[in-house]
This record gives sequence, C-alpha cells and structure tokens, in this order.
Amino acid sequence: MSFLPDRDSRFAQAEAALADYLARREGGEPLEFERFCAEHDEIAAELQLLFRTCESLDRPPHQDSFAGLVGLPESLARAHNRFADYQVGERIARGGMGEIVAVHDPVLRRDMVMKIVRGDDWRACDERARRVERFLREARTTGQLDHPGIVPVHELGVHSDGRPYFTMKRVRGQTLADLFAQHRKGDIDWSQARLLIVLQRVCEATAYAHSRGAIHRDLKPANVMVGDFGEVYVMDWGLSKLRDDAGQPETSSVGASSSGDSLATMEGEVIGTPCYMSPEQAAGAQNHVGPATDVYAIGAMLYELICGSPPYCVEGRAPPPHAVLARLLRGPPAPLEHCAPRTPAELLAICDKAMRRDPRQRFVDARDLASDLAAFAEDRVVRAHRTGPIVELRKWIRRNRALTASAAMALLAVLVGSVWIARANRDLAGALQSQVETARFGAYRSNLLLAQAELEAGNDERAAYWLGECPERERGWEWRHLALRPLSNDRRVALSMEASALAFDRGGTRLAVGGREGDVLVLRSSDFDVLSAFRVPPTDNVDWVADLAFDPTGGILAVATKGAIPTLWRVDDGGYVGALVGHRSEVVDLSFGLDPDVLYTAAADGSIRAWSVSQQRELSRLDFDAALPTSLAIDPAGERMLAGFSDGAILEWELGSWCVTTRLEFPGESVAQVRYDPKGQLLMASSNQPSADRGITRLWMARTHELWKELRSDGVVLGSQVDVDAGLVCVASSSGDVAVLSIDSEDAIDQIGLVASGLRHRKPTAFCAADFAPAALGDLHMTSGHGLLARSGFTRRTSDFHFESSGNDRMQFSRRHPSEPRLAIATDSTITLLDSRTGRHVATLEQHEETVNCVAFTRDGRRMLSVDDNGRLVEWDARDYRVLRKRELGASVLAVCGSDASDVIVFQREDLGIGVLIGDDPAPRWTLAPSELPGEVFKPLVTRDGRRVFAATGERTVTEFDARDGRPLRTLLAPTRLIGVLALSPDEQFVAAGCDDFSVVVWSLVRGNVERRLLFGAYSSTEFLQTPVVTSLEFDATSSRLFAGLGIGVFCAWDLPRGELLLCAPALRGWITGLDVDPVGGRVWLTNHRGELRVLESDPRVAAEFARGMRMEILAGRWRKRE
Amino acid sequence: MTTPQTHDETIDLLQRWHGGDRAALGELLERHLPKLREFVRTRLDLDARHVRRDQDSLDLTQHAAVRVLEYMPRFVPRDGQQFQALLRRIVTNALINEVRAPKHRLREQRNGGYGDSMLDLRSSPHSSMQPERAIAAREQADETRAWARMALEFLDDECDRQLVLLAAVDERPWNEIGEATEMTPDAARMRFKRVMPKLANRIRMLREGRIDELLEQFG
Repeated sequence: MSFLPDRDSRFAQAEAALADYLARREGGEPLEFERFCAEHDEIAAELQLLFRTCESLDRPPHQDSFAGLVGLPESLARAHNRFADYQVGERIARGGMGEIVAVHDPVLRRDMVMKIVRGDDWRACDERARRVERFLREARTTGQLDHPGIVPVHELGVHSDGRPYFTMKRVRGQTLADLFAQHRKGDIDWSQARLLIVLQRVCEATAYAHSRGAIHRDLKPANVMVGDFGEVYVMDWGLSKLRDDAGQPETSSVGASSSGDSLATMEGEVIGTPCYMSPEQAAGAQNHVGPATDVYAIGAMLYELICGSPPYCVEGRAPPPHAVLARLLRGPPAPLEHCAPRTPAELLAICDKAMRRDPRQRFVDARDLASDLAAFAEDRVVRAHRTGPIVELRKWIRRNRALTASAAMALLAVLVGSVWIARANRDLAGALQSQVETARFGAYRSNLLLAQAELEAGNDERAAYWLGECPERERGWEWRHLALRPLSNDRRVALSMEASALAFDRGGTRLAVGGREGDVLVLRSSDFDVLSAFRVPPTDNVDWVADLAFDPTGGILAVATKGAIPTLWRVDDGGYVGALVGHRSEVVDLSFGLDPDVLYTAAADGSIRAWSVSQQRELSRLDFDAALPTSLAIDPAGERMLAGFSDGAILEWELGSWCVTTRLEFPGESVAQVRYDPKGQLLMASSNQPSADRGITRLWMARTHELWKELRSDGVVLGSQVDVDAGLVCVASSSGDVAVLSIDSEDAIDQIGLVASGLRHRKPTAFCAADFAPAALGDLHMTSGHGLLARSGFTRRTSDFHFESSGNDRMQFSRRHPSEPRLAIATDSTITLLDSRTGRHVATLEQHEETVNCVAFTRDGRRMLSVDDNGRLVEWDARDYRVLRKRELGASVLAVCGSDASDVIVFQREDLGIGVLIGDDPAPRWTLAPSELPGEVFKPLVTRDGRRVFAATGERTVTEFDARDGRPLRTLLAPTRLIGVLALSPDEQFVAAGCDDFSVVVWSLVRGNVERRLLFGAYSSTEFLQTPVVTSLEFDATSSRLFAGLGIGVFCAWDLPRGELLLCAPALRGWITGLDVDPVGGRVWLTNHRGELRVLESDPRVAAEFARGMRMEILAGRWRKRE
Repeated sequence: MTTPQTHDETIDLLQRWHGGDRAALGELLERHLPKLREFVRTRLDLDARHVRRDQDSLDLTQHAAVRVLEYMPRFVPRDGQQFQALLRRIVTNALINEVRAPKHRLREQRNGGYGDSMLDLRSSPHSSMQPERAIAAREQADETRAWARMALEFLDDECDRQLVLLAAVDERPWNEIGEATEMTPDAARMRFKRVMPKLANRIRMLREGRIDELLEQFG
C-alpha cells in the first residue's frame, strides 16, 4: 500500500506537473488537459483547482500588429500620419481600451495628448474591432463638436503597426471629482456657488453636443476637467451615441462581428458608471437613451455637490458597483432634504427634476437645466420650483440691492442731515478703495496664473501679453522671474540678395552677410542698419561668397568667393584693400588669429597658407597630398590652428612651430567645418554621412581632446557653430534650414526653416548660414534665401537653472549666506562653497568625518554652523571660513540654528529633543525632551538677539521660550496639526509652520494670533500620498512673500499680506531640503537630497552671468545640467 | 502617543475598509505605519543613515502600505500581528525593488483613470448579458487580480514577481513585458506559464488563510 502524501505535498506535486504541462503546451505540443489529469490520477483534483486559477490569470499570446484589422476605414488607413513626427512623452493613463500619452509636436511647438488604441492582447477578433470602433467614435464625435467646453481633436491617424490614434489639446487642471473632494474639505476656493457655475458650463457643453446629435452617456465628475483658470471641459466621448440625419440610432461603421451584432444595437449592453447612470441605462434599454440621460447624470453630479456623496452612496463609503446598480434599479436615492436640510429649496427642486426616473419628466435637455441653474445663481425664478409673489419680491430686492440701498441712503440723508452723509461718503470711499485694491491684486494674480500656463504651453508671446497686463504696482519677484522667460523676439530683415555666408566681428556688434552674386553687406547687429556695402568682383567667373572673416580689430573684412583669390575690404566704407593671389583652386575657408596682419586660408588646391594682410603676400604654407583641406579655424588665443579634410581627418597644429599636436577623425566622412568655441575650451567639427542625408557634429575638450558630445542633424551640413555658454550648436544645412541643438540633451530643440523663420524667398535655396552672436547667450543669427533672422529664444529658461551634482556624491543640504553671494553645499562630509552669482567654485571645507546633514548661517552672516551625522558641530567664521569651535552634540542631529549675538545655538536631536547651548557650554543649558515634542515638526528657531527660542511643543502648538533658562513665555496655537518645519521672518514679526491640512499657518508675534492660513491651491489631497510635509519655509526680506518647499518637490510662493498663492509648481524630485531666498536679487534656490540644485532667477543680468559660470562648472565635471 | 492596537480593532478596520469605509484606510495606516517605519529603519539591511534621512524609503514604505490596502483582496488576517507581518513582507519586497537598477525597477501602474465605466471590452464575450452579470464578471476579474497581486509577494524569485505583476495584474503587452524583464516576449510568456501554477498554489493558501505558513516558508 502506498503512502498518500498529505494535501500540501499533493499540491506541490500538482504545481510542478502543471508547470511542465503548461510549458509543453506553450511550446506547441498538442496536449489535452483531461487526458493529462487522467495520467496523474492521484493529484487530479489538485490539478483541476490550480488549472482553473491559471486559466483566470492567463494571457493570450503577443500580437504584433493590427495587420488585417477588420473595419478600419480605408480613408484612415490611407491617411498620411504624423505619428513619427511627434515626440512621445510620459504615459498619462491607461485603460481597458487605450492609452493616453503626452506628446510634443516639434513643428508647431505645442504639447498635446495622444490617445492610442492599446495594441496588446485580444481575446477575440470582434473585440478588437469593437475596441477600434469605440475609439473612432470618440475621435469622430469630439472632432465634430466645436465648443469651448469640448477638447478639440487635432489629428486622427494610424500608427505604423496599424493602431489608430488621435491627438488632442492637453488640458491641465483638476477633475470635478477632485474639486468636489476639496469642497468637502472646506476649501474656500471651491465653494458651492463656484461649483454650480462649473456644472452650468457642463450643461452648456452637453447641450451643444445634444444640438449636434451626440449624447455623452458617461457624464461623471471624473470626466469633467476644470482648468487652472476655471475653463470647463467635458471629456471622454468614447461611449457617446450619435444620431444619423434621420434621427435613428447610428449603426456601427465597423464590419459585423462574428455574431452579427453591432455595438449600437446590442441589447443589454451596459454603458455608463453606476452612480451617475440613469435608470434606463441601468436597465439596459438603450433605445430609451437620449439627452435626458445626460441630464440625469448632471443631476447626479449636482446631488453629489449638495449631499457630499454620489447618489446611492453614503458619505465616506464606496459600495461595490453591483450594489449601486441594484439600488439604482430598485428606486431613487436618499432624499436630499435628509442629507442636506439647509439647501435652498430651489436647488433641491432642480436636482430632483434632473433625476426623475421617467426621462420625460426631467429637463428636456441640458440647456434647460443650465437655464435653471443660472436662474438660481442670479436669484431669479427657478422654473423647477414654484414660488409665490412674496418670495419673488424678496428675490427682486436681493437682486437690486444697490438700488434699494441707494434709496435707503437717500431717505436716511434726509432724515439725519448732511453731516451724516459726509461721514457715510468717507466710509464708502474707503470701502471702494479697498475694493479697488482687492480687484487690482485679483487681476494681478489671475494674469500671473495665465502667464504661467502659457509659458508651460510654450506660448511665449501670449505669456508676455498676460505679464504685460499685470498691474505694475503689484509686480513682485514672481513677476520678474516669469518675465525673464518669454524670450522669443525674432528680428527679421529682407535682403536684396540671396545670402550665402555670415560672420560676426569679435565684439558681436557688426555682422557681415555675403551673397551669391558677390554682394557683401556689413550691418549693425542690434538693428540691422547697413553700415557699408560692396560687391566682390568675380574671379574665375565665380562671385559666390563662401566665407567671411573680420580681422581682430574689426577694420578689415576678408572675403572668400568660390574662386581662388580672397579679397580684403575696409569695413567702415566698403573700400577695396587688396587681394591675396597664390591659390590655384577655390578658397574654402579663411580665418584671422590674434594678429590682425595675418590671415590663414585653406583651399581646394590642397594647401593651407598664411598671408600678410598689409603686404598681401604669402608668409608660409602647408601642402597636403592625401586629402584636401575643407575647413580651417584659429583658436581664440591665437596659438593653435585646426583644419578638417576631405578624408575625415582633423589636424591641430601649434602655430609657432607648425607642429601637428593632435589628430582626430571622422572615419569615412568628409569634414564640413571645424571651429573652436569663442573661449577655446572646445573643438567642434561637423561632417556629412555619405550614405545618409544626415550630419554629425562632434565636440571635443580642447585640452584633453576627449570626445565630449556627438550631435546629429538632418540634411547636408554647410556650416556649424557652437555657443558653449548657451549650451547650443547650430547647424546650417543644404535644405535651407538651421537646426539648433542642445549640447546637454543632445536633442534638436529647434529647426528654423524658411517658412518657420518667416524669411521671404523666391525659390528654394541651398544657401544657408548661421552663427551665434558673441557674448549674447544663445542669440542666433541665420540667413537663408533673401532674409536674415535673429532669434534669441533657445535659452528660454535663463530664469530657471536646474543642475545636479555629478559623480557618486550626493548633495545633502545647502544654505545661502544671508548677505554675501555664497552658497554652502554639504555633500557627504564635505562642504563646498560656490559663488552664488556665477556658480563658480570658491572653496571646499573638510572638517567633518561623517556626512554633513545641516548647514546654517547666523542672520548677520558672521558665522556658519555645520553638523554631521555623528553630531559634530563646527562653527566657522563665515568671512574667511576658518574654524572657530568644534563641539560634539551626539548623533542624530536633525537641525541647528544660531543667533547673531549672545552666542546661542539651538539644535534638535532625535533622541534628546531640543537643546540650547550658550557660549562655551559643553552640554545643553536646557532641553526639551522628545516626549514634549510632537515628532512631526523640526527645525527650532532662535531670534537674532539670542533671547527667544521657538519650538513646536504639541500637535498644534508652538511655544516661545526664554533662551537662557527655557522658561515658556507664550504659546501659539495652530488650527490643525503641525507638520514639517518652522520659519521666522527677518523682521521677527511672524512665525510660519506647515500644517497637515494642505496649508501653512502664519502667526503674528505682535498680536500673538494667526495672521494667515496659506493654502497650496492646485495641489489637493490626491496629489499627496500621505500628509503634505512642508520641508522648507522662507520669508523674503520684506516679509511680503513666503516660499515653501514641499515633501513631493513642489515649490509654492504666496503673497503674505493678502494670503494669496502666486506660484505653485513642481521643482525638484522628492524632499526639498534647502530653500533660500536672495534678499537682494529675489532669486530662489532649491536643493534636495538627491544632489539637485535649482535656481529661479528674476534678474536678467545675474541670470546670464550665472549661466556662464555654471557652464564652466559643468565642463569641469562638478555639475550636470538637468533638462 | 498611540494606544496599543488590539487584533479586534485591526480586523474591524479592515472589514470596514472592505465595506467601502474610506476613513478606515487612514486609521489603518495610522495604527500600523509607525511600526512599519521602525522596521524599515532598524531591521532592513539598508544603510541606516540613508534610510533615516532618505525620505524616499519612508515615503516608499507608506506608499507600499497604501497600495497593499488598495489592492488587497477581501480577506481578513487572523489579527493585527499577522497583518503587520504581511505588510512587512510586502514593503520589504517593495524596497528591494526600489534599490534595483532603474531600468529594472517596477512601476506599478494605475489602471483606469480612463473611465471605470461599465462598458468593458475585456468582458465582451458576455456582452449580451444583463447588466448585473456584466458587473459581476468584472468584479470577479478584479478580485482575481487582487489575489494574484498579493500572492506574488510570496514568490521568491524577483523576476517571477515582475512577470506576474506585469502580466497577470497590470496586463501589459508581451513586448513591454519582455523589455522590462530583458527577455524576448516568447521567453517571458514561457516563463510566465511555468510560474502560474506556483502562483495559483500561493493564491490557494492565501484564500485558505494560511498566511503564517506563507510568511514562514517564503518570508
């Protein structure tokens, strides 16, 4: 008799056997499960159980494409699709039918979203067809509806694998579901009145759709988007139903499925979301679905607004869908009077009528519903609610309050006398003034938010418009910061010639443009005013200007035509100076060094020659047999020469000795151009790939010749230039376009073609040249065809710098000196000092052996404190950074703060709590034990005079202590639980702290009460995984602005006196550990624990300087730029 | 200071959460997160300094705990202690996943957001059913995925956990799964076939409430 294994053992055997079975079947073996079970009779039951579970988890095989997709409209399949043109970004959402991804259209330079059908597993062919049909329905429905409340469809196309997609405007904002949640939490920004307006807009968009024969069928708060400026969109028309012209339900345009059914006519199909689904939808009676169905859904949303939870749901509970459906089929939801007894009767009546179970008793359509909602908002007669004459009179009085108030005032004036009138007028004037100021600030804030949105969307001109609309008196740091960003300011000028070459003088003040017929113009860079003009006589019957070069003084211009004789001209008057005769073939490039009397030329006769300009004779030459020189450059120091050759070789010589010092290569390609960057730090060379219409540009470190970057561009390269400060390379190609590439991201960030640039042309041209204006940070000039264009918009974020420390060390903390341009950054056990204006490295301080986790300056800027993980506290002289004192505080110090005078240091340790050191105290003078601290707040504060200490001592309290003896002086009470950090204003009149209800509380120390509660605005609870931690808080110098960094990397700025949010945007990844405000320039510094530094700038001069400085730091390898 | 939780309270909160009481989630987190964080700080084999100051790990802990509760199938552990042990197992896996190279890091995606409407083409074979059956079918599919999501935490092999998450829970296409796991789609699918019985057995044990055994055997 065999021993029967226990149950688990049998399951283990079944597990192994089934794995083998499934693998073999997957491999193609024709196995039957029943037979397999029979062969394993002793574990058959276990096999059956596991197999059933496996079947429910299994996925069908991979499907590569939609090839042979049934029912895809032929017109769509044939349509030109631009899918390959889009830059695909992050996936935003994914559902049963498709995906939504963010895309960028580089041609029109706008961000959009793309909906694309999911290309994964299908269970059945007819399901695939149905999925596509629904997708196309949404695209067509939305595409046919032209209303501000319906997101427009831009393009409907087909992916290369056959999947249809369409692109739409990207809407940024919140869903109505989010706003309902905020309303329930008591957010004053989203009152019931305001949300009723949103519902009105939903009605208007839906009513328009009804007028066009479309019924949404899935209206719900999650399908309504409210943009940042209150614009309302009805989304997701994928379940919509369209009527044909005869008013009959539309039959599917997709070929019939295998069962012969079509989507629209299938009985029993459930469409909608239970809580907002009408009774006729729940019953599956699609033939009864009409505009009244959408009315019901809007009524259900109104119900949720009034009651606080959707119909058939109790507040705070989410029953499973089947339970909701069952309740819906049984009868109406709980009466609103029970859950919201104080709701005005008119509003209840509106909701009740919208949600009648019989569709014929509801509002006829959404327009009708909108009309009654508007009537309610304007205190007019609501048709859904019958009233009497007295009620109507009261409403009339309320509506005409001003009129009745004036009448009352007139009566009182007569009764009381003129003195009373004068007093009333003064009060009125004051009230009006206050209203004007409020309105002006409101306008400022609205325009600021509009400008932010336009900048995010890449609409610089419109952003500049909104910024211009901001009242000047209200403009603060945030305005100056945003105003730096819109930089697209093209300047164009038409030329009478077809331009073929372009060059700047050394200072960038003058620009020479050469043309196809030998014409040369010298222009003033700033306004394109013509300074001089001349025509180069043809040589060898060729007069096409190939290259231009100013001498170092800017007085002489050397011109190379496609002939063999370069000529020299006076810049000021265009007078002829002379010609350099000697080359036997066309001169391809020329360049001056530091000596204005020496010109270098390269020619197709295989020689590179040096010439005396004054004597117009050859000084020396190099001859080459194996390949022809194609390009030539002299470094800014005048010490080296670089040349490119037709065989891909790049040689560098030392000019004095003519010794070759370096050889680089473009294997198998011809070098189109070589250049040094204006500071001589980089070598640049461009070549053309012979087999493809593409160019390659490489950048090498000038000193080490280490290859740094390789960039690719389209078209045959005619010329290229580099602007290291701006991090840009421009490549002019034979297509007449100039590509502008970012060095850091190696991406093309612009492609300026003839059309996009607005340059006029008579016919397509292959002439194109471009150069960056010296010392003008990314100011590109290009000429193509008959036009000259100057564009400076590529470094659009010169007000926003984002870097991360390179290498393995991670920056942990940073702090700015309060008055000097110094930034202290703690990276592991080292403190690095940077010049905060230029970003240049100043010094490295090494006195810690463990990771430094906190750095602080005293407010007078005389001392710096640093503490590491072991609790070593080092006090530094903040002027020369010599060590003043070291102390051991013990491990796990979280924060430290020092006073100016009286030598008081306050610190917080995890285990000890808060300790206060005075003078040379080896141990804390007094402490606050951890049990007395709430545990969610850290960073105690000390006043400048060292007399008072502030610390969070309870869940909702901050206590002010006497610093000497720890005696409590006062307690500040917060409205809700505190979490995060504390901050003290520079004038020591305010203390701020983060709260767990998505706000910051600010106390007035003068009055001892709450001065302001500042909300995070757009970031609701759904954005936070847990309680929102305010990780950094700073006041500006005048206490008119408060800045906060949040635990999710978001940066906020408020106008403190008015308590209004001005800026709120993601800034860094994760926990913002450091936030500093430059009190003079209004610059904001942000750092996190991942080694990232971000600087938000408002001063253009400082911004440019900082950009250059950080560029050097990047080249030195100390920082990397984050895009 | 929080009062020590009793098993009744944890079970009661779980049952309320399963019943749709959203407030119960917050209470559950409030009761169990401090211990979980302490566990992460002191017991896991990570650099304590980084963990203590690395708010990402603590954020991740809370994030993982929230996701567990969101996807957890409708079962009730024996008591709060078992519940805490389960959370630790899951959070440990999540943290291990987090320290892997970025390209291997799993990113659980949130399905939906595109509309949790009742028209679900995945259930198209039942499309001629009455509404209640369509809803029931969908709920059953969701429940199966929830069990799979929990059972995968008891697979020892990280690659297997990835596979199950991507294939059975997130239902990603095989080419994406192959890319994420550095296998060809066919190889990924083959491996998934082999893992499924193991997963099914884990699901069986979970449904039978044998969490202690699973924790002991695979924890």
